[in-house]
Amino acid sequence: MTVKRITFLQELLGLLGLGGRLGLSWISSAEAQKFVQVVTDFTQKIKSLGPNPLSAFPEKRKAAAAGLLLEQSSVMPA
Amino acid sequence: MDKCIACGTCAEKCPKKVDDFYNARLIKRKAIYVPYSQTVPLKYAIDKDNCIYFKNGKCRACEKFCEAGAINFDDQETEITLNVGSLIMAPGFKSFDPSRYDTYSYTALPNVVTSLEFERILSATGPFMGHLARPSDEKEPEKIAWFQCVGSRDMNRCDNGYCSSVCCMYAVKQTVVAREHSKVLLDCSIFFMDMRTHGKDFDRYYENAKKEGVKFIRSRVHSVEALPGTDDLLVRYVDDNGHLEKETFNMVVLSTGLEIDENVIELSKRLRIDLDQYHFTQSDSFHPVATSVPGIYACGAFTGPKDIPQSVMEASAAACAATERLAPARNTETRAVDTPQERDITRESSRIGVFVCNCGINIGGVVRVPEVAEFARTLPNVVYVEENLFTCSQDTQDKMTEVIREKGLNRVVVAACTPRTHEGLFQETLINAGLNKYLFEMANIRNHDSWVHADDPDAATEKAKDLVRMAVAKTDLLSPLQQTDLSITQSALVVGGGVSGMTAALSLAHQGYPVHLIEKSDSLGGNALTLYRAHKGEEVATFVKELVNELESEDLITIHENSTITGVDGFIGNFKSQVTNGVSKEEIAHGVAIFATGAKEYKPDEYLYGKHRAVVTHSEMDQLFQTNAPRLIEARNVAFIQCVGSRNEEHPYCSKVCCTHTVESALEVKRRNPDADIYVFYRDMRTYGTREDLYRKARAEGVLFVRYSKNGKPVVSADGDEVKIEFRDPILNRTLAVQADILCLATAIVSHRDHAMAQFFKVPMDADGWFLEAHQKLRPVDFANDGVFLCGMAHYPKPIDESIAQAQAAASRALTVLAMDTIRVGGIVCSIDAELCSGCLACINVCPYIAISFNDDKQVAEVNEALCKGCGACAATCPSEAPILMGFNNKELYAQIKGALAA
Amino acid sequence: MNNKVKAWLEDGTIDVFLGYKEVDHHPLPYCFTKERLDEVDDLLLSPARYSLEKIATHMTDEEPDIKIGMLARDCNSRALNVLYLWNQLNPDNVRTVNVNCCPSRLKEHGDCSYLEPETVGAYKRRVGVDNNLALKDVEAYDETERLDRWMYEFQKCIKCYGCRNICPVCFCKECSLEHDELVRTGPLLPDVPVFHMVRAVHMAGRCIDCGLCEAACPMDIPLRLLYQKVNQIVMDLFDYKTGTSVEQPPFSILGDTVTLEPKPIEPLKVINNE
Repeated sequence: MTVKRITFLQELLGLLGLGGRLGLSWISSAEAQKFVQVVTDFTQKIKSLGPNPLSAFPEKRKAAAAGLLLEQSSVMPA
Repeated sequence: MDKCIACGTCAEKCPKKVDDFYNARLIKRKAIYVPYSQTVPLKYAIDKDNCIYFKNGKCRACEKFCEAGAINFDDQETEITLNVGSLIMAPGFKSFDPSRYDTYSYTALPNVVTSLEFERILSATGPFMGHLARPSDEKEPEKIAWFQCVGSRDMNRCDNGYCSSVCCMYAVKQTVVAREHSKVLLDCSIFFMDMRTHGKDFDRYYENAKKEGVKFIRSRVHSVEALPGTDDLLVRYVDDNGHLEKETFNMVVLSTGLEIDENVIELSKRLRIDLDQYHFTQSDSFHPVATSVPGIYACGAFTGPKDIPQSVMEASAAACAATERLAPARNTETRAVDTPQERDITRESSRIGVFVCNCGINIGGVVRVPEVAEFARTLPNVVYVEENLFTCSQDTQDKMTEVIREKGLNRVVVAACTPRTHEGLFQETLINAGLNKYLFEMANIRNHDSWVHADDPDAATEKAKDLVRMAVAKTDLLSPLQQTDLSITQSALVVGGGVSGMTAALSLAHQGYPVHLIEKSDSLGGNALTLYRAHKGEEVATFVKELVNELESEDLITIHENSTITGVDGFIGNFKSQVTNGVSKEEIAHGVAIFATGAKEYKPDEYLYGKHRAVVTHSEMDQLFQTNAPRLIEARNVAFIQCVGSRNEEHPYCSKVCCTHTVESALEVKRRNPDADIYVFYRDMRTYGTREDLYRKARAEGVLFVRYSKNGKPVVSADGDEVKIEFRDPILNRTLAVQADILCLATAIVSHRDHAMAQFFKVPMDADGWFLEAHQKLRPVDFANDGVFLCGMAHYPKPIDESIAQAQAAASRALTVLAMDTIRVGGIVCSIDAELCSGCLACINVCPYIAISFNDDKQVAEVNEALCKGCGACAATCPSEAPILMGFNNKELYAQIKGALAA
Repeated sequence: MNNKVKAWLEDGTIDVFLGYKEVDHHPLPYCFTKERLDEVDDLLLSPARYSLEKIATHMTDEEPDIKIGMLARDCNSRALNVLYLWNQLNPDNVRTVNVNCCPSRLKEHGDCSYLEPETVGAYKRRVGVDNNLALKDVEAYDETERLDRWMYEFQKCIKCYGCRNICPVCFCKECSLEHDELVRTGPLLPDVPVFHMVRAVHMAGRCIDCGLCEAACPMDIPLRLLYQKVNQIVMDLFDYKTGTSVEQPPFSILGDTVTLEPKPIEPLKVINNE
């Protein structure tokens, strides 16, 4: 069930351009090496993907709103 | 020993290195050690033979570094006398030492390893941390050979004439696992004589491995030599066509057999237990776990080589047999625990106590514990914080009890190690302090923190704070959970009146519990009524008669003949079954149910069966023996064809009993009619365990065994009163024919496919129609649905001795329920908020324990606490968050996540 | 059609019939009853669409045994199938008069209000997601642009819950979109993209692509595209076609009818853009 849900969500996040930021792996308590490998790989991957792009959005929104105003003011005669 | 908290410092500091026997001497361990990571109890021990202090009188490094003060050099061997009513022997086996197979050069070549060594190589806790590597240069092998029957089926180089039963399957498993561990597509070859994958689902596994490209070569390998200049190995063998072949491998695994250790033989002598020529216990087929000494029982490989499921079954069976006569003494020496009255905290505001553990230097050596404790004080609703050297020590427990009372704490967080090992202990302390045991949470700042971040104390300290913050956030929202006791009906329902069902019923009756035995036909005995002899030669009919007599004279057993079940309600401890015999209906209340519904002989429509008088099945052949039919004495030629309806597309499994049945019958024909010529057409002879003796004897007495392949089956045609069998001889490579007066077909055993029963008790059935146990290895007689058990051929085809063992095992497992007056339900279970439920049934469909049902009146789903295991599948599925997993509800989890993100 | 409905009402096959009636020149959803049989003459077919099955679900909540007749366009029929599977309606209690209206091989053009193309302004085309695009066109934008464009759309959301309220398959008594832990109650604008993603996840195995959510959205967020992606994933992963498949949806069944392997977690290869 988990693999179904996670695979689904991975695909869905892909649509928003947030792909690769969700991972799933089964590791038993006897698989220390695998755990280290998975966590290291994933950490590395997330780091190389850069900071959460969503956190930039409140700023972007302000900028966009400003841009929209500018655009409208330039299109519409005062 | 009470003081050791298994922190491992002693082993780290111990200067003495010793061969690690657990890892097959592939690596070293210390002189103070735990034998393997799952040791119970998990306590370090000093290996006196190797300890420097014991040898030279100096060192005591472990003592110096042990913060718990747990090292005791003065510990002495003590003799303990126990008075017991019976004794169970489970001494296990020893893996065969292949040194004496000199042509395999096991001692000389490092890359020739035993299967047990290879098992360690594949293991994550093994010498190479689970990386596939060969011992000589630790490089990853690309080509590996397995040799079967090393120390098994061999009377020349050793005296182990028996088949070790498990090696074929474990070799196939090792190829599959090794391939998973391998970076390249590993080239695997198994050299074998007969592939004996006769267990449940084993043949499928074998066929799959074949399909995946594992090579199976029918040959006994002659020799292994070093390939000069490399660490590789040159293998010489004769292939199927008689050609001598040479092939190079990077590594060779010897599939070593199972044998009994000399010490066990010695012990058996002292106990006067009779052993057979191979040093397995001597028992008859009808008492598989008995020994020659009344009151002493045996299980596992000691009674004969066997795999895990069969060993687990026998273990339960031995427990049942050993306690039958002791039943009157049950609970005479148990004591009840006194616990204080639980405090009602519903009106109190949250008062959290946090105990931060140093675990000696395990945590304190990395994490700055005082800083973490100081941090904990700043968290909301934390009113008390304490730092301990060892929070789990007994004196800290006593103190904790006091503190909880004194400070009026109503929730407790312990930041220490893992709940897996310590939750129970701390919950006990809460109970002693009058708190509900669920008002407790652990933050694992050892395994998850100090151990893995030993090189970064700053980050580890920060992580410890995060973990504590998360635990406190969740704890703040915890509420007391209640467990309630449900009374149980102390009686059993056994379905099926064959040997398995009767054995299970009798065992339970001997244990003092009433049993209802349901049999659909008008007589007891089942398939056993058609059988002539068991493989050790005992007459089955006599045994069945005695069994039926004993059953009928047993007051506690009610026999319902001609009866079927028409409906079942309820759950573990409280079932109600509707039983009808066609005339009247009856409702039976029972606490447990045992499935012993058996299986049936397959009736083929090939090889002229049913069309020619000469062609019979095994059960028909057994009738000929029982009636001493003149045909047997008059026959000049008797033939057997194996795997009729087994190991094919329709039934892709091995029916397990037919090979042995055939060699038994062949020998019986020889006994009555020594001049008869006997032919056996087979694919693999699967006379596992000591049944191999029968196979060897049959060959010695001149029975001819001819192998055929799945695609080259013998062709049978009528020839007057006889039949003609044409077949391809693999050695001469030409088609030959024989005439037979009697042709016995070793037909498959097939399931009754009783879907109704499966539905009544909510138990699964696999693709072949066998009922599916909770876990194929570890819970071979349990169903996932609590209180329902399984035995006999309803589980898988099996011979009478294994059926009896499994029946006793099922009774044993059933006893674990019946022996209780009540079952405790609740605690960490789900409860569905009816207000939020939209009745979409999603939770019911995903519940693996069938614990949720739909209330048609209220149109909402409801959880049965007795069946719920608290897995949370429903809570994760519900779109409305209506199911609340107690102790892990969404609010608590969200709080924990917020706690994690708050840094 | 009208005679058939009348006959059903008269002989008790159904207790009520849900269809459309023109009121003040507007076709509105209307409940026809036995008591006012002559009104059935006003039952009409028009491009108007409404989730009549949602009304049916509410009625059934009140009166579990009520027998409902319904005018069913293709989308309504798909929604009914979903509601049967989720145990919200009993197929024995529902009779439909079917209208084939969606485009198909037999009929190239659909005839409902929704299939008229939306007018999309230049600015939205430049920074947002054009509602008329096909899914593959949206996915053709590179990752950063995709996020920017979707976020532009989501940030317009005023959390009116119109998408949920009109949705024929949103039947939950308690909606996750009102759970404080997931979507904070109070602040406007809502938490994005969480609001829309939560809804998208809940649409898996439910959304029948009727497009009413998008029609209802006052901010013109291309919701249909979002849920088309959901349906596409469900189709690709589980071979499940929501609305026409008759089995239980993939997230409501346990077991190995679906075999999936978790995707490997591999370190990202650093791509040099030079």
